[in-house]
Amino acid sequence: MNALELKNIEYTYSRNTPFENKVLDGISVSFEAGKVNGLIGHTGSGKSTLVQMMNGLLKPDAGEVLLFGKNIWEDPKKINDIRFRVGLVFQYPEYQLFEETCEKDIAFGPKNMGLDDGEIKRRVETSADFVGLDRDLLQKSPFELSGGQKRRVALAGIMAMEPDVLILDEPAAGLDPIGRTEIFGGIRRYQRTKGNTVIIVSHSMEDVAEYCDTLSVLRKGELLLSGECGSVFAHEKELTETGLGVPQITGFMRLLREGGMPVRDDIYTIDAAYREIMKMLGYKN
Amino acid sequence: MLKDITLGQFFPGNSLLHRADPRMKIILSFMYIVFVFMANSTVSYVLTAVFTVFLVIISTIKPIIVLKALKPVVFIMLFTAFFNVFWTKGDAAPLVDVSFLGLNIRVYSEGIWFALKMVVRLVCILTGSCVLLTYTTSPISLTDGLERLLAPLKVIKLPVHEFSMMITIALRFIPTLIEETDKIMNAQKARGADFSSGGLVKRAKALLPVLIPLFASSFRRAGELATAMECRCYRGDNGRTRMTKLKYTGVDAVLLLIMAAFGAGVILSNIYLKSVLAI
Amino acid sequence: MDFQSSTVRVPNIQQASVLHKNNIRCRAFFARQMSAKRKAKKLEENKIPFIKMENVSYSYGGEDEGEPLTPVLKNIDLEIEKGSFVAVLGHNGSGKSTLAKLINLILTPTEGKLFIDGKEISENDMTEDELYEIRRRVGMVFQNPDNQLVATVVEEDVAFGPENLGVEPSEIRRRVDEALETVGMSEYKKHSPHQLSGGQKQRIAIAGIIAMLPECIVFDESTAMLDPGGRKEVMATVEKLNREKGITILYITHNMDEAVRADRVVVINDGRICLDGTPTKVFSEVEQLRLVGLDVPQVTELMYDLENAGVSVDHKELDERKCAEAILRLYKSRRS
Repeated sequence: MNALELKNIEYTYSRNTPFENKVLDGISVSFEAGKVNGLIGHTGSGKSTLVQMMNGLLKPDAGEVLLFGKNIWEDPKKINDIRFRVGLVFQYPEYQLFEETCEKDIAFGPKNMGLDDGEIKRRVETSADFVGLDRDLLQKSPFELSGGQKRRVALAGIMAMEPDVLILDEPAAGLDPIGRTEIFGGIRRYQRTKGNTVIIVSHSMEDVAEYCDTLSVLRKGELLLSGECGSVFAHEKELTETGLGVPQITGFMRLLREGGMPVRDDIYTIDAAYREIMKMLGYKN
Repeated sequence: MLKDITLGQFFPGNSLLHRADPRMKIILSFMYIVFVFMANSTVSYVLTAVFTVFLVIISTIKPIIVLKALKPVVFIMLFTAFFNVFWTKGDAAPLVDVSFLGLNIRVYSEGIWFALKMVVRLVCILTGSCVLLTYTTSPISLTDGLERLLAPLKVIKLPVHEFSMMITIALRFIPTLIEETDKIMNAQKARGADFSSGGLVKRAKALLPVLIPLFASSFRRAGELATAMECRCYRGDNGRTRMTKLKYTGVDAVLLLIMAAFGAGVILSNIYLKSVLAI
Repeated sequence: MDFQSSTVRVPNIQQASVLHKNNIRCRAFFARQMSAKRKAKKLEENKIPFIKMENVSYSYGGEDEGEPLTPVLKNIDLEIEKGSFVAVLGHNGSGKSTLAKLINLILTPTEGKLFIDGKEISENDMTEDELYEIRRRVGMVFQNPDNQLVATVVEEDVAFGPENLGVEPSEIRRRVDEALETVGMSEYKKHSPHQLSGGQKQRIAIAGIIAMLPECIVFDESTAMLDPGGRKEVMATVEKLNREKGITILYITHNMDEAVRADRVVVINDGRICLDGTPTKVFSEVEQLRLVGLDVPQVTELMYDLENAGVSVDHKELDERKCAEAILRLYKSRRS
């Protein structure tokens, strides 16, 4: 089943001005429920615009956005409810923190939903646990924390709304390997526990390969490829042409294949590559 | 979206006015405003209007753009004109004299003329200074011109350089901060923040989640910028040179002559042609 | 006749094009060899390190009574040779950015000595002019491209540094044009910075530094906020500056893909240097890198895992083609 489906979306920025810029021209893309979906594309591929359509921050000029089969613009007055059901974490979300304490900041979303205090407290604590934030930190000012911690507080703020679909735009941008593992670990914990749908928007093939089940590739406002990660990475040529490339390990397996070793073409993790090579070399586990 | 606001309102081009030295343009605008205020005879008003049209023509800016600039002040202009029409008393018999709901409404020809003159004066000043300065001068050369024009004031310890540096940085960061505001607003909307309903107090409160991060980030930017500037050896205008040297050219001389001629025209017609078409 | 000649000609054309391609490849290869030799010679000539740190430590805080000192850098000994390209690798909070700020004299060491071009730097007996002269010679490019551009027009911004140095206007003009040419941004010189992409802005920032004619440029995580395209642009510019202009590069990053391209990698963890050497040597220490929270290239990791499982391959090789060849050799010998 599709959690979120965008059908024939068109969008033009600055309409009727000299700066008119059509970024999306009839694109359709869907995201499976209960899975981690990757959405990948260059800067300027229209992915940021698309993301803002998914929770109703932007309204498409033409086309439909369906959340579990229902058009989100059916009743424009209730668009705020859609924003609670489709949680959107922007790039560098730590820059939106504003409350005196982390706890209050995480509670901002749930409070806007009109939940009671007990429920808010429960949600703040569970989402802090998801992102691996120490409970002691909850009483601190978000401005005192390190970059990676701030990012996790911001992420917890959206998770606390317990959205059916959680969208993250470049969740690991600017973080070092440790920070990246922590953030993605948090997203994975949330997804496994809740079984909700997650969409990760990124331009890092390695990150997407490691954490996503399905993958959609955008190019200049069009859907270039979509499907299971392995089947998408098998199209190395198209991906390289768009300048996105494939994970280093996928390219490495191609080198082996070209050298006469019949390894599979849909390998994109070190683990899988290791197992495949061991098998080919005739080693038993 | 906030991003769509165009700031500075500079229209690049290569007209006489575009090529003139920004310092000269500041001086010319100043002269122009003084002359427009000096005009007090019908002929000098007509002259002013004609001269303003002339300025628009030589600037090669589309008249429609100039008219758009007047849009925001149309209301104020009509409002003052309206009062002048009804409140000015004349010597001759009123043109209109009616009683309406117990009010005696009298309109004298002086009132109409007075209102008309005022509208002409306002329109001319706005159009003229836009065309002379903001439309044909990039913000950076405008601040640059201002800094160099006021340079003599450094002698009396006026921080002319610092002031112009501040304006330059502000101009540089306005688009960045507008974009950032947009982003933060969207991020808070995604958390259910509501900026468009409720009373004044509620709306002002709703802006806090935008203003606090915006301030925090502005301070961070300011700090980083200061370090970066220091790394690029900035130490005020201490021993500082400039890449572009401003030079007065023939264009400036011609424009100055034209402006002087206009001034002379206004003054002469004020004195000698006062009775022509006088009302 | 006609038919015959055409069948003969086709392979000829193909051969010619192959030959031509090979020719180009050969030439590029020799050019690379030459520049490497020239570089080696240059390094030979400049034995004095451009930057030298002797037992340098730095701690934050402690300014007020009772405020605890937080050590960031501990007893660093480091020599950076003229014309070299050194990557400093470390996770956030490892002290690598503090290192950059010490070299640029934004911070002064709490302990130890810092030498730049053989001259000891100490704040006390240095005039303001000397301080700014050091800052001119050691330029710095920061992380956020937005927060280091000052002017509203690209060329005005590039001119900012030389203007501060009091350079003659005609000379500034020349330097600005040359700097923009070097970073490949000449056609944008009249643009406003906010119309540019992140990578382009960063290249403008670099142009602003090279217009001051520095001998060394410190890049403090200058690609961390860029997309892959922007990263490539900046990285290519950095390599060009080092190879063609001989500018010493200190490249601070947590991205191992970029560090691989340096001549030397210095890994900092918890305020100390824990690894130092060529990329091949440093990245072969897979275990230790993992321990300090850094990544290694995927293929290196794979080779390391294979080696650990008893497959006889050499994991120290960084070039993926050579790694593939090693596995293929093994595969073929096993099959026969």
